[in-house]
Amino acid sequence: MGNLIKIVEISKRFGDIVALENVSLDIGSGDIIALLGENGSGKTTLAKILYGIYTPDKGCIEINGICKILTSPAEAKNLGIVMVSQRPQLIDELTALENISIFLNTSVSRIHKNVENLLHEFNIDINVSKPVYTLSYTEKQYIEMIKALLAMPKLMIVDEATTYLPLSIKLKFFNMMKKILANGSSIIFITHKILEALEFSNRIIVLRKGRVVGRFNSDSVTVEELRKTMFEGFGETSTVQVTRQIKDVGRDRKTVLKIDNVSVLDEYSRRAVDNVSLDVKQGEISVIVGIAGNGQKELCEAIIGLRRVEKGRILFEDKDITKLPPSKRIAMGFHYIPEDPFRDGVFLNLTIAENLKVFSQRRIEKEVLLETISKLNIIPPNPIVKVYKLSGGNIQKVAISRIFINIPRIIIAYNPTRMLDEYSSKLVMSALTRFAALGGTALVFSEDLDEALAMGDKIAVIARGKIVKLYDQAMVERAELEKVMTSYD
Amino acid sequence: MIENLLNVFTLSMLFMVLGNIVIERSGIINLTIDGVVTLAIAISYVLMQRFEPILSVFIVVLLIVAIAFIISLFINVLHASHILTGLSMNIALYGLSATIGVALSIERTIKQVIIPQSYVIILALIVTFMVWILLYKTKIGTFIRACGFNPRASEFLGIKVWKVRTIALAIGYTLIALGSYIYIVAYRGAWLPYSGMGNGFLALALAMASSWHPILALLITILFVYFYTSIYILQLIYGMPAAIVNMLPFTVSIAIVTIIQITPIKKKLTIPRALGEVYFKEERAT
Amino acid sequence: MIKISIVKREFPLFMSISLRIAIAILGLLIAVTTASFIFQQDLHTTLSLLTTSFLNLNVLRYVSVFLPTALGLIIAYNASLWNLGAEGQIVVGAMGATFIALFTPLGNIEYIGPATSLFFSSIVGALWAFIPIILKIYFNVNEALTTLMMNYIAYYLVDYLVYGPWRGKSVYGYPETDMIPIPCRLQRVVGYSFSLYPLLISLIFIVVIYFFLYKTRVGISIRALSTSSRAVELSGISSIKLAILAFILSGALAGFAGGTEVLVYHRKLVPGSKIGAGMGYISIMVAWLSSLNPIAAIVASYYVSTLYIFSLAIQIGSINIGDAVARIVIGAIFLLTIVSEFISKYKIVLRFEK
Repeated sequence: MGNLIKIVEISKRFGDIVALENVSLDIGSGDIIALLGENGSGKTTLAKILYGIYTPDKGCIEINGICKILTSPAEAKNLGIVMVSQRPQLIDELTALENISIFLNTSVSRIHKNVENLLHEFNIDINVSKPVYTLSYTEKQYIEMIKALLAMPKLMIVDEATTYLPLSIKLKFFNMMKKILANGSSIIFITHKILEALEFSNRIIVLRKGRVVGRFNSDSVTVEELRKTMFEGFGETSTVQVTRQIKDVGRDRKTVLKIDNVSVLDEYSRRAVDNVSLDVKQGEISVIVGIAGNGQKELCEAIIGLRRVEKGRILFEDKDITKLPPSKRIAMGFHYIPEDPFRDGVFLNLTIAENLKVFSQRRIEKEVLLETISKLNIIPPNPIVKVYKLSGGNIQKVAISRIFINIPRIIIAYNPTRMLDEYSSKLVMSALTRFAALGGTALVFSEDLDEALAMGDKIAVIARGKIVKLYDQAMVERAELEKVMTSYD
Repeated sequence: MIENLLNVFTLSMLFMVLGNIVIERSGIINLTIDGVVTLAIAISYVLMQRFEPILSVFIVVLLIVAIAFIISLFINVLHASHILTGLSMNIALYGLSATIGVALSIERTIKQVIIPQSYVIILALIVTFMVWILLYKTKIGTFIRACGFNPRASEFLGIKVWKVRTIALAIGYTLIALGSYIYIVAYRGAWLPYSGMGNGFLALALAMASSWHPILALLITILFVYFYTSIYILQLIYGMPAAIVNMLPFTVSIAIVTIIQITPIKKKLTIPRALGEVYFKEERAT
Repeated sequence: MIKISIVKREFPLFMSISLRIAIAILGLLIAVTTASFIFQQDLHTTLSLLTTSFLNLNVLRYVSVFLPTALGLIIAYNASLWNLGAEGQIVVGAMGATFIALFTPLGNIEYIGPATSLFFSSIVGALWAFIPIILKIYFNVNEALTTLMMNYIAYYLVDYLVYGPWRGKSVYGYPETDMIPIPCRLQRVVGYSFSLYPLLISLIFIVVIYFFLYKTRVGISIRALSTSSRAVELSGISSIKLAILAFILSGALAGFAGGTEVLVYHRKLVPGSKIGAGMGYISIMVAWLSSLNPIAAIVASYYVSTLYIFSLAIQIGSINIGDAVARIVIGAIFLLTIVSEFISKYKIVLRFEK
């Protein structure tokens, strides 16, 4: 049981932002190491350095005693390191087999048999000779896993690839991953969920703000200890409370947004949303939950106006908005919280003041600008600073300022806390729950059951483009939701 | 009849279009083509005054590939905008072509190389077929197309995007150089400063119109040149103003490209999605 | 083994500006030494020729074209919209101005004539830019390629007119129109080939456009388009309308430049390639040299215009060579600018494996 790979004093900055500081880690043969930390702690940066996507400023990766600096995934792959990311990194226009053959640097004919054997071994049924865009998210991830296994790696890095999958599918992935342990290889398993880390790994390394702040053995550490290590010193977090009000279930509420038999096509002209109907009521947070790739994205885009509706109508406060462009809907009081606020929620190259000016539907005075900045505690409170210079959490604050500058009538959100750290997540969720408590309406699309259960008054499960079940929050268990989500895959 | 359908001009355009397809399939918008073509024509002209055809071809290809490496330097190493690099290099190369052509000229016309009609047809078919095989049946071709679809995913799959794009540039510009050589040596025969300017952009338009597919490119280039030369005849017979005739290649290209976007064919043809995107490996998600 | 990687870096503003200035000066040195070498003059003579070029007021003749065009392109490029059609927009703008001047009664009225001509040339330029942006928005056709094609169409359109229906009655068969009526001409500064009025208007444009792009919601949103058109749409502004606005504004400004060429310099319509003379393409580079900042555009325009005058001044013997050498030098300077962009945005990191 020798050391396979050593991470030696890795440091990495992006401009002024320190992503990793002096991170060291010994990876032993057969280890399953969980890299635990919240969003923004540096876990993905470390993974990308291991896989050659980023080059470290200081430090190196020691393999067989030789200190190496990886500058491309091709190099990492040749040294036996593979990575499976949260989002599948496959070429949509090529077939699964072609993607795998590129990765393994061989021809399609040579690996066809091996791929089929593996699929058979794990009881997975996928047509590998069709373009990848025909596959679902889960199927694409299976392909990612298969290609990683076929490479017979010394180290497999799994970057939150299973974090948002229902338990039964998660277990299947774990089984696939364990296959390489038999040969003495190791796994680095990245997650921000403590339970997942404890469940799957034998060692846990906790990262916070780019540094290693804790090293534990999974069988001798408690959830509380891990939580404290992950968030210690974050006084801010405890000041933000997220309380979901127990709603009066029987009360008759007004329907603010009516989705009426809506069907939507995706970019490949396949029906991603199939005859969906839903009433979103005032004073409630309705959550549509499902595994990625089951039509949520297309439905959300249709509601916002970024995608055409093939059939059906969308009614907002009894007005037919089906044909309106997004800008008109926003002007009517729609408000959208995107999954990636850094890309879709703010303008990184513009100043804080310029961002707020664009967000604001009415002319914004300088006093209001400064007031908003101080109310949200944006640091540095300087309106002429360009947004890309702010820390992640502060960028998120700028993104969420929209809610406070304008008065939304309905908030649509897509995986709102996905890319956020704990504090920002709490900020967003508390803003949403307070909004609903004051009589606002919200429709949230989520791939994360924790998020859904924390916020949703009504929970709808979407699978294969259809709403298959609708629940009142009070009446459903997590296990039931998981079962429903997976039964259609 | 066949002479009109597939003449030497068509052949030279075909080489340029196919070369452009290889390059743009890797995700690079190839605006430099016009400057390079103008330069290659001038260099071929100057070389043919001194050397035998085979040696001239060899040298011009070598020189143009060297320029392709410079382009690769700007795009892959300096991460420059494809469009700005293209426009800047064009200006410099136009100037270089006129300088070389005027300064190193000995005589006004050169000995033309006559390519028999049957050879023209065979060459056209062979080069189209070869490019098709390259892009769709070889490993490097798959890598090139992958870079054009999704450079980030390609990098994850272990492809070195900068290397593949450099190879695409080298192969593409070899073909473009050959096309330029054929133009001046087998077709035009005489040279004036800036001869051939605009042909590169024409090839760009035709490549785009054929959705960057080699077989389609063969058809479109043939049809196009035939249409173009026939119109000239019509112009002589009916006195259509020359300017209107000159406009046609460009209006038709725009029309074809727009029409293709609307027709159902578009769904079957995959295009290099990432065309023109400046790819920076260490780009942070946040 | 040495491992090389390229990472982004943060360059303080004053360093970026210094770098730009350094490259500009380096560019001038290259121009001077190349000219000396090719035309076999000694450095001293060439250097003094450069200095006189800087101070030669005829520089303003080119500034009259480059400045407004570059300003328009700055608007479009700030939205990441690739308008490469400035050349064609200048040409059709010239066509528009000629139309008013020669073929409408307004051409004979002082003040109103030239004003209407310039206004109309802007409209025509804007229309010429309208087609590619519509194709891009509704059919997803790459606007870089369509605008390029439309440059050629513009050339030939004007050629058709000057060889055909608009050919002058008193020009002895030359491919050009009659001279425009005297009331419609803009008065040149005595002894030079430029007029003050278009220049003043361009200066006003600088202020207006700066204010527009940096102080108004619409203008800031146009700049925001380059970061994320989706985020703009989701802020309640139609990204489609913004894109169209940005594009037609840039077309209008280029058209305006074309109009001034007719009213001030040529005073008639000549074949397309003579009207545009590649100045539309050069304006693209002027816009980039200004780092897409409207105020810097005046400096960049002046700089490039000086290079133009200089290249004319050093031409002895074959005109072709002089023009060609100027192109090589100018192209090289633009390439150097690209290199300087790289230096200010990225740095090369060398790491040594043990």
